[in-house]
Amino acid sequence: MAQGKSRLDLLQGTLDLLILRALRADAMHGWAISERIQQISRDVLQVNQGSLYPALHRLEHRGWIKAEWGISELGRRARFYSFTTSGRKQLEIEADNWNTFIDVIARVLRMA
Amino acid sequence: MWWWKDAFLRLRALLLRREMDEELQAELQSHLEMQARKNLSAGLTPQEARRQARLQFGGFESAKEECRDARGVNFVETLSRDVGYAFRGFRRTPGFTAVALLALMLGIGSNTAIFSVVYAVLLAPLPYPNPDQLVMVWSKVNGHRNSVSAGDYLDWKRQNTVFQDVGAWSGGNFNLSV
Repeated sequence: MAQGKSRLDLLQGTLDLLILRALRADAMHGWAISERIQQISRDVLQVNQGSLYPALHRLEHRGWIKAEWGISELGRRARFYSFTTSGRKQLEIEADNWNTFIDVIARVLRMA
Repeated sequence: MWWWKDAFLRLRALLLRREMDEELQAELQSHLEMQARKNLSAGLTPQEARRQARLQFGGFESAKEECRDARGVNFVETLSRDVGYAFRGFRRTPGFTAVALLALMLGIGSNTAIFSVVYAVLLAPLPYPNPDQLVMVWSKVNGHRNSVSAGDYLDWKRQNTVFQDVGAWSGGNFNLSV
């Protein structure tokens, strides 16, 4: 683990967005998702591994991702998550929401 | 529509509770192994790699609990456990249970009995055609309702223009032997 760099805790509700975004390319198991998020955020975002799985199960229940058992790179059974069509739509919605959110916050901060 | 997918997963989680728990255990376990492997390749001893993986994961059991919450079976499990607990409590205090049962039986029984009488006497529609059009007319003596004399009744019946028909009834006393 890279030390010394300050890490940000995830904002409430952003984990879903990050998971959906990380899964956009291909199916991954939970550990790879947490690695991917850290990697694409250049180690700034710290995903709490314990809260990743409840989020995955929740998203699966909402039908945005689906899970299948497969064989991991270690040759062991692992649960692979992948996108569904409604997940793709949800990613667009959540990304839009997020962009609106940062626009608004930025505007508020610029206000003297 | 996501709800049927949700319902399907919930039903599966409920019926295959043990399998789902094993799957969950296996899923989280494989996460720990992958993290340990990463730690190992970072130069930790095997034991330390596993220990760090656990630490990095955080609360293992609480994560499992949250996953179960996400699947929404915890409610049913809690409910069945509560019902079981209640029945064990009843068995432990038979006196209290008997009194409670008796009170409920008497309450429900007498309620049912009283209501069936009230229904037959007050609520049930009368056994005539168009019972909602039925009215009762009285005569008035010194400002008080009074029964109608036979002569009045015959006059009313003859001169009636507002009712479809007029009839009369009277009470009577009989001695019956069975």
